[in-house]
Amino acid sequence: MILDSTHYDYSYPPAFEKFTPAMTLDLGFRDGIIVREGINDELKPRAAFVKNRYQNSVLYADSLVQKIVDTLRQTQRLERTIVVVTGDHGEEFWEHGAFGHGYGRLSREQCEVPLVMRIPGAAQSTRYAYASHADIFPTLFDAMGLETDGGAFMNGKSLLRYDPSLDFAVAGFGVTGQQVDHRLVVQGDGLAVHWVDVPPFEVTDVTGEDGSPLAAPPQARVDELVFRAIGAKGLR
Amino acid sequence: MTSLLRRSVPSLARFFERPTCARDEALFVALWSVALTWLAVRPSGAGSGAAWTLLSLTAAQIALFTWALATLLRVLTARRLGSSAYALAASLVTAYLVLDRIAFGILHAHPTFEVARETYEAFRAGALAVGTRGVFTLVLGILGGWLVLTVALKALALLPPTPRADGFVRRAAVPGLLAVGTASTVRACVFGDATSAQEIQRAVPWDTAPATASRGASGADGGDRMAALLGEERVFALLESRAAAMLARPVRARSRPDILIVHVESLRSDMLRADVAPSMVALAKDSLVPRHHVTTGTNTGTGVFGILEGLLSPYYPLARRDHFQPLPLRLLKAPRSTSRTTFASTTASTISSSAVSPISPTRVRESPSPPPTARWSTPTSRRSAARPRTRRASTT
Repeated sequence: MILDSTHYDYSYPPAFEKFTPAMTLDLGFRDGIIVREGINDELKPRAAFVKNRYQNSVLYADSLVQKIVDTLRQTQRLERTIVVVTGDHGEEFWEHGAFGHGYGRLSREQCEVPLVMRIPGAAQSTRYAYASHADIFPTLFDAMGLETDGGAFMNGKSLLRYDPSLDFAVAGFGVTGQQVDHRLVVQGDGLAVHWVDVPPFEVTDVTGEDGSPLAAPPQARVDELVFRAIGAKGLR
Repeated sequence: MTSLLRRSVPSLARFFERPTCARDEALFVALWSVALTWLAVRPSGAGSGAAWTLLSLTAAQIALFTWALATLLRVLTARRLGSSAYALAASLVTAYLVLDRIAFGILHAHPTFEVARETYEAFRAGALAVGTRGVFTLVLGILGGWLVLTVALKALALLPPTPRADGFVRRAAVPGLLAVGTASTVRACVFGDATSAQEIQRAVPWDTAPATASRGASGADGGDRMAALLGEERVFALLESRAAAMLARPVRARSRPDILIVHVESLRSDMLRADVAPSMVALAKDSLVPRHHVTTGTNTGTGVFGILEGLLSPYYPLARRDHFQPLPLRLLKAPRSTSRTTFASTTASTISSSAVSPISPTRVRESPSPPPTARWSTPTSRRSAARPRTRRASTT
């Protein structure tokens, strides 16, 4: 199920306007500003208002999630349903110079999304600090006890079985069609390492967990993370 | 060495000096090729109609290659190697295949210039875990294999001589191998064992042996790293070749719960807080929530691809190109599960009406227009009422 009220240009009923002042629905169109994603310096001074509008839309989407859960509970299906709530990608509000997603750099704001996975009868926590979308189905299959070798056709790991060597996550740049972009970022070990995924695999940027640049990144840890991330593309 | 053997164990020396005929050599190459194909290569297509085609064709290729290599060795050594050139060639081919299987996991293609170049690139990038110990083990393995296979070859020479068979083999061995290869390919393409000639071409050489190293601890292992280094194209080809075989088998599960995946567009992680998303926070209390969860790609296509395929974003363009439907969903569907994807727009009424309507399992339906029961009107919904909702292709 896809809830898209939170997609640019962020729509919600008036009753959900909690965060104010929020931009008008057309994000300033009435003020003569043509809104576009990417590097949009014109709208940048209004970043706080745009973000308020976005937060209101999230509030609304959240109410829809509640309705879904309530419906499952009322129909007594909640305890036999695995519920996964996540985002397809994040959204940036000029924290690193761009607005929206799929622009600029692989910032934490664009890459990190929540993952809430409710699995009745299974562990309600995971020791993994780092996970990615590629881990969702391996975890579901593990929870179901599906008799198949997920590693033969998926890159992800089961979040129900902790393996410290897999505690990292890889995100890529959003591309359309058959376009190719070799920029990837791997998070793990308190670092976010950006690199170009073709030989000679140049590391372009290393930041801390919070996105702040590191003056002297630990080279051995950086190399190990990149090597693991490259290895994660393989199949068993 | 030989004279020492003659003096100390004359019977063993006689065994090794026993001459072999063309029949023995052909039998040796044929038996070893089939065994090697069966044990080490394991052609893809298990469970599909192409399995026998691929098996015979691969065995024929290995036999042909072994024979050619043996001939070359004999010429290079001015025939000093004698019939044991066949054993050495078989040992070298076996070493190549085993090495590929346990160490590289990707060189299961014809050894072309491109493969050599990519291997060199990988070596330069430090991704090949090749050390002195590895080289020593390899050389020792080849020599040991040579000895064992020579014994096997000489054992065949103990069979009573059959001059007619010997002459027949001399004339027919190579044309026979070529005929098997051609007939298998023609049979596959004409009678539909394989879905396409491309599939045969992709699978025939020495394809399909996956990297045996487990992904994981092995993230730092040479096999997977090599696989990734040598290009997503090949790993994806491997995945595609596995799909048919995986779907052909019934998949059993311990339990069969319903699965509901709610994807909230553009939801960034710091929104999971009580003042913005109280319901999700409440749900998170008895759920599994990683501290840092990232999307596979920063737009809808690559993000949803990661969710539904369990693959990283470099495979997204290839999946688009080949119209590769999500294998996890197809597997779930195989054991009589039903999967559906529902698109719910910005109104609650849309959710309640569309959530129960089954649609194509892997298709994401986009709402063509706002629902008639929309509770408010917005510029967005007015726009989408006039035309199908399309987003800017560059971002979604």
